[in-house]
Amino acid sequence: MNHDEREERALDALTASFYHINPDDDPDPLDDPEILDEADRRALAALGEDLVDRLLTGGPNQAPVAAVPEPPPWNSIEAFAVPPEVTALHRGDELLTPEALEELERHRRELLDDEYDESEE
Amino acid sequence: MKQSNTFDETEIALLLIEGGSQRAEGLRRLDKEYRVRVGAYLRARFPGMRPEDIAECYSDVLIQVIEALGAYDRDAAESSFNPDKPLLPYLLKIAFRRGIDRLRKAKRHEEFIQAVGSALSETDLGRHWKELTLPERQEIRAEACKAIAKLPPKERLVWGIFLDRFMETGERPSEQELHALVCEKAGPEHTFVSVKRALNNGRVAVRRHLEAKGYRDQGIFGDDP
Repeated sequence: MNHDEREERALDALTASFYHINPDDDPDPLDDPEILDEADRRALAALGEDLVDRLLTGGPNQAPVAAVPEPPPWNSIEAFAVPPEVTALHRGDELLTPEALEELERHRRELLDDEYDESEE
Repeated sequence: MKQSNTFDETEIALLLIEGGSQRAEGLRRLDKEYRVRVGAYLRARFPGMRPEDIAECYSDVLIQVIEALGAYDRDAAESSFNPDKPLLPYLLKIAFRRGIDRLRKAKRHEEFIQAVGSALSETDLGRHWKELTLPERQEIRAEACKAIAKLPPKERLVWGIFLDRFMETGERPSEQELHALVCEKAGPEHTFVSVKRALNNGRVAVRRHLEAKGYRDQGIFGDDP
């Protein structure tokens, strides 16, 4: 490698080091709006003046968290009306054999009978 | 989105920790004041970022602030948000991290600094850099980043890919490798010569700021544009 190549390699390495900052260091004062070109400005403006409101209400910029139905309180009448497999984790019942399904059904009936007996007391 | 003349960070911080409609108002004012500045910081730090990525990244910054405020409500000590600290540097730090998450798998800091040190050793540039004071170095760094951020979009893209590769591997890519990477990312219409020219134009811009601080080694970085 000759002198010129070494100097060029050094310049490239130094330039790359300008971009390699420790995230915990204080940021450089590189927030001069003049840095932005027209396309950048348009993209930022396209976020809209109501960006904050959309983010706070889980609008298009933020995927809304899928609603998970809460199980009814343990002592409510609905708790007994809901079969146990509804409140249990999904077990992939469609993959179960007829014997296994029969076993589950028997178990479900036993649970319902127990709960009914307890409520009678 | 115009910046206001009466932006008071302390007042905004107080609104943010209030919650409810006051927090929403604080966030709106924060957005109005700092959107463009955070965007400019992202452009300067990540020259290869597309405009729409800058906008999306900024949106991610606000989401993270909202989450940090939620954490602050639960336990102030556990939150990254501190109402007693300046807001803009806080936003810029989040923006930088988000940008890194999006674009780069940077080599470890120490390893990278070592690679740079080795490239600079026994060069005129290395000797000159050593003699500069810290404020002079910081000034050159900021001006060089600004100069690269202001290159035309195609040249900026080349620099973005060049820097990302350099930081991933700790070694600068060869011109052939860079050309292949640019074509892979941005399409085959980029010629080898245009990639080389983009690289040289950036080098000239950086060299200009070094020369302003006394560095002299004319004519070694290829032809001026």
